Amino acid sequence: MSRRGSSQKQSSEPSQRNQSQKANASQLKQPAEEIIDLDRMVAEVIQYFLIMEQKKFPVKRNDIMKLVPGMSAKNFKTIIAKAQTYLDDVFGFLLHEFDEKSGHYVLLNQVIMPENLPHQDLSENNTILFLTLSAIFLSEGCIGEDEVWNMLDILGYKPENHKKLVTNDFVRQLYINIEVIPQSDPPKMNFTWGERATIEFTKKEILAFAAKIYGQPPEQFGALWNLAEKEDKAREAN
Amino acid sequence: MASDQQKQILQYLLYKPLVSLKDLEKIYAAAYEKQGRGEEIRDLVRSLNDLLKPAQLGIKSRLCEDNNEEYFALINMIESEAAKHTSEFSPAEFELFKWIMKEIVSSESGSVSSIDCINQSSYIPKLTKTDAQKALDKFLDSQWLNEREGEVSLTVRALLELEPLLKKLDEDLQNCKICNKLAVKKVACPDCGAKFHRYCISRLKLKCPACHQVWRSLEDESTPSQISLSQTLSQTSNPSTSQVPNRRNGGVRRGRSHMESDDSE
Repeated sequence: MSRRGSSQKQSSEPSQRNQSQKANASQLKQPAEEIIDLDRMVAEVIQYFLIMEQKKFPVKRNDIMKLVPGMSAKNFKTIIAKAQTYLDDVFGFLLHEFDEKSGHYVLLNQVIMPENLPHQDLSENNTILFLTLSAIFLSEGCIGEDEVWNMLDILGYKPENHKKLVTNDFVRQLYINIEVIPQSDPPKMNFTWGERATIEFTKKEILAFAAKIYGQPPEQFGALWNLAEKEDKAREAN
Repeated sequence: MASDQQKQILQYLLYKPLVSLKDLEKIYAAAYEKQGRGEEIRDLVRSLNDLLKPAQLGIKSRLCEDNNEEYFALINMIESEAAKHTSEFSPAEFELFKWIMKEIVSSESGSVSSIDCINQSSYIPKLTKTDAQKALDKFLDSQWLNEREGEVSLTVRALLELEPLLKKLDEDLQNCKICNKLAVKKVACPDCGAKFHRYCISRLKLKCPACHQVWRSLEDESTPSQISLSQTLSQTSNPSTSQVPNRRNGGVRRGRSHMESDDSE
């Protein structure tokens, strides 16, 4: 990637000579160059978000800063804001930032795809994700790994084929959290919802999915239905 | 600002960057709930490209070297840092991919057997045969490569997005002298050696535009591995088979060549 004169040729003391000079060539070039570079940086950030979104991996602020030379704390906010506007206007993605401090982002899809347009959401991995999230939800937010493997097995998903997906990919994608049960021998894990699952899916959605699996209307899920209703009301209030 | 339908189509293309013209017509119909033909599809692509400019992405089209159908691909218009930092392939997989590309472009047939691809794992550290099979599946899935009857070749997406890389892998790689697009699956004039696409030279009724000699047939005697025109004619037609230019119809529909008036249109 070649850049025309990336050095800042600005003269720091605006001498009288410079000010009275007409159209100093390097001064004319310089603002235009900065704009080109900024646009290019925005394009890179947009592409980075789009590519990471396909893998559903969160984007870390530090990785964006290291992406292209010229990104600094100063222009970071501007660039992110432009990328955010573009991603929403053109693709229908909402840029969501977790945790001001550590700064990582995901894209949330706002676009409803027509039914006859097949989409990534219909993949097997997504089904397994929903099954896992449902299992956790139905277990009041925390479930042991063996129960999850059993459930998947019964439904035809062999645990040995999908263990990496659940314990590795879903965790990296912030969909689920795992923690080792202290003093468990052999070591066993508990699963809970990850922060991405919390913002991307509503409890109602997951409950509706579970309802289909169990053949039982969502309203009959007692306390869990109440939780889902509460969440809806809280969202509306915001 | 994109309309809902444009957003839907762009989202689709993010996950399936390579689509045929027929696919694109179906996508249009799904999004706009009505049939779109010719001009509407062109307008759609034009409007999407305007929207994609700030991201340095674009939708380009090219005729497939196998069946001469038009394909569209959402590609990167620059060699971006973002793409470099987010490679979907491991280093070992990328080694295999580079090898496959090199084999493909250095061959006349523009293909390499899938068995050879798998066996190449012996020469790539940290790549077992199983890994190689998985990698090949990845390449097919992500629409960089095609496989037909055990032969692996480049998709239109690869031709459009990877051209600089392909040219680096083989110095002899040229554009077809008729349509001026990269010719990976090529035939050479037996007299002057100029390279063309089968469809392009068939359209000119096998008369070489460089030396003006008329070829006897498309069959190239010097490369026995190449499928001859008569062989392809005798294949039963199925969706994946190449549409063979029939001399009776005067060749192929859409204009690869601007050099001669097409009496079939």
